[in-house]
Amino acid sequence: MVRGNRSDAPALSTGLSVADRDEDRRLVARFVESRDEAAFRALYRKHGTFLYRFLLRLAGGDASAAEEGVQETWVRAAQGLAGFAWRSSLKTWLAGIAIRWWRESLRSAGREDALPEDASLPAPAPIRREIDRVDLERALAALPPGYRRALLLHDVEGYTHEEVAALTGVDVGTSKSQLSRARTALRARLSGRNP
Amino acid sequence: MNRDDELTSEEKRALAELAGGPEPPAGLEDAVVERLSRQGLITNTKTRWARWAVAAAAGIALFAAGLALGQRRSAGQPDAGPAAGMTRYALLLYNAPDEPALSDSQMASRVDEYRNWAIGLRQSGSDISGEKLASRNLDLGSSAAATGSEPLGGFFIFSAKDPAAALAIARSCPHLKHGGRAELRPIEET
Repeated sequence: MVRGNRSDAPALSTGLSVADRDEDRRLVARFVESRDEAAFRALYRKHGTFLYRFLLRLAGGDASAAEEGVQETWVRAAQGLAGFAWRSSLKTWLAGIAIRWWRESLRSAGREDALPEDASLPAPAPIRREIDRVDLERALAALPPGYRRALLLHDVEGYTHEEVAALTGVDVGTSKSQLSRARTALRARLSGRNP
Repeated sequence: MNRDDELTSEEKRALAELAGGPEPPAGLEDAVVERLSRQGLITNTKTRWARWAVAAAAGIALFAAGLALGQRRSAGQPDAGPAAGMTRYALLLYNAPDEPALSDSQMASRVDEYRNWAIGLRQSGSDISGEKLASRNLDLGSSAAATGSEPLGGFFIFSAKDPAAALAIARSCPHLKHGGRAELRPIEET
């Protein structure tokens, strides 16, 4: 989360060292060349936990949706890895696939990840007390999906606004604005209000 | 963003701690590999479905674990309960008589069948989720002893607008086709 506030972070490279990227490149090359199960399993074990947790929170704690999303993300990744151009890290590329799947699943259920505007209530004050993890998980899960996505990408996963913009197809200004509203909504939830 | 949009140190710390969290379910990796293999996206698959792995794989999309918060779930809104006008139902599944005799590959096929049933319902907008139960019981004492010849193997939770719709969903569960016994009970929201 703190990393997300960096202004000097290289674009689309959140949280990965050079050694990490080299290992990813090696495993991807091996998988693309031979469709080797061991190479895939190594990629899965490197990024699978991140993907599951990310999708679990995107889905508001719905574990079956998260598992379905993990499977879909890896299927799409396996189909697209040969054309992956490494303009981002592999982890970020996987996150992008996961977000697209999640948006599709929302649409198929008649929901969207739009961020509702609500200027009718005064903004709650920033929270300066210890926040219980369970309360935070519940508040995050209960937020409209778009708010949840904005908070997860920037404040939990540490993506910069430039990275969030690239992942979600909005401009940087919109990403900042969405995060601001999402934080307000989260504070309202934690303060016992339902935005 | 104005000053109030910046996170306080307490908020930063709490959000940062969320980067950790639950581990993926055991069996998810094998389920992904199996699916890639079926779609021809992976070669040299050496996956062998030991019975314990099959049981774990049954948790994939079919029997979903909660977020360990003890919250109720409904279509991604954990605290919402059932949608307006809907009632939640529990579909309790007792092991089918032929299950002990199934080979690993037969069990894998059955798991696929159940998984696809649940995924199909979810894709139609259902909030169905469930849990696989371990075969062992914790002894509550003789006054609360479990009864019945077949063990309770798992359950699904889903919402339906009325009993007829709930029964229609329950009757479409492949468990019945395989001779398994099931119970459908409305959940009393408390």
